[in-house]
Amino acid sequence: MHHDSSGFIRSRLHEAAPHDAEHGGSRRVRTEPTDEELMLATGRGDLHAFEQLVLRHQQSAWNAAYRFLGDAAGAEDLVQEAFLRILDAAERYEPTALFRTYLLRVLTRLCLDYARKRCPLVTSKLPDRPDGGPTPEQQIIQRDRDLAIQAALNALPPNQRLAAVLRYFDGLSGAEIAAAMGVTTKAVERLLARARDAMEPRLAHLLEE
Amino acid sequence: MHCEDVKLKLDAYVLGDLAEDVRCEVDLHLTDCPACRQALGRTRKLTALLGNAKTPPVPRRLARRIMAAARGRKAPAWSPIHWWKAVSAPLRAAAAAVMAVGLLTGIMMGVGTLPANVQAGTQVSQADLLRDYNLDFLGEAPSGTLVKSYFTLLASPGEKER
Repeated sequence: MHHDSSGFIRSRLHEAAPHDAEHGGSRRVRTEPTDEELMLATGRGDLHAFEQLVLRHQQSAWNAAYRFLGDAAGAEDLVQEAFLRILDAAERYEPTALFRTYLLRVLTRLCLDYARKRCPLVTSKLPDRPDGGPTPEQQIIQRDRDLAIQAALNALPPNQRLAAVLRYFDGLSGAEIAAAMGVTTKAVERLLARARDAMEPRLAHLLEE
Repeated sequence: MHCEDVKLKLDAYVLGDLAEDVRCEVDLHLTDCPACRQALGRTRKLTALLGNAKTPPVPRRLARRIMAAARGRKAPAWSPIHWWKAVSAPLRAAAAAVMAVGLLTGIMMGVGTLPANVQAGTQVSQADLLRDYNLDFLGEAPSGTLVKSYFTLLASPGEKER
């Protein structure tokens, strides 16, 4: 098997118009392959297809992992491990669900495993953001707010935290969270309700602003 | 719909993630229940607060790091099994034929070079083997030594019985 062939990606490039009179040359239009097509290509050993998937979905995975752990280094490790597990299983992949749901399902398992093995989370700092916009005072206020939010998340039991992270930071619907966590939609509603009950008193000072 | 049911739906209500009929039921309940309206207000504030929180951007190195690990993991370590799976069926058949011919040739050559007594089916004694391999000088070792005892044992296993 040729693990690094990019034939699939190249095959998605085609000539849309043979001649563009205005620009005096041919115009190439790229038809973006779907996630599922990229996964199938990855299963055939196409690492360029896999790279496309990484670039498309790293943000979503990062949001979930970072907010779940509250720790950038740990989040990087978990996101990498999730993508590598998907790569390892790519030959057996069958497109029965959206790739994003599949990725988040792998990631949620890793997050819950991580939480089981790890001591309770303590939020002492968040990484600095290269965010030059706000004034120093605004930055301090924003930073305090982020710390309080992360502390409230960290205080939740792992499954409630995961549901809240997927809902509020990844914007998943109840059905998507249920698919990612392998539970029913009703269970997700209960997890989110409990998570809200637990977070509200901790964030009361911010909610009253 | 009861307050407990509505409470479970508030999050999806705020995010517009409810089916139309369920949403109507929640609306109906909210018009008559001040406690649930308060809970709805708190849920809205919490959703807005969390929604406005900024997660740090994805580290630039993350995708590179993942791809480096992926290439390392997928580096094709050569093995006969992988090779066998990777090549086409005609090539596999040709390779199998070559291996079979090689094996057969080896067997034929091996049979041709066996000592005549083996080819004739006669048994070879240990003494013959020592002579064939030029080890019979071991018999000249002084008597009583370990080498001499070992040679005696090897050269004439039948003599002990006599």
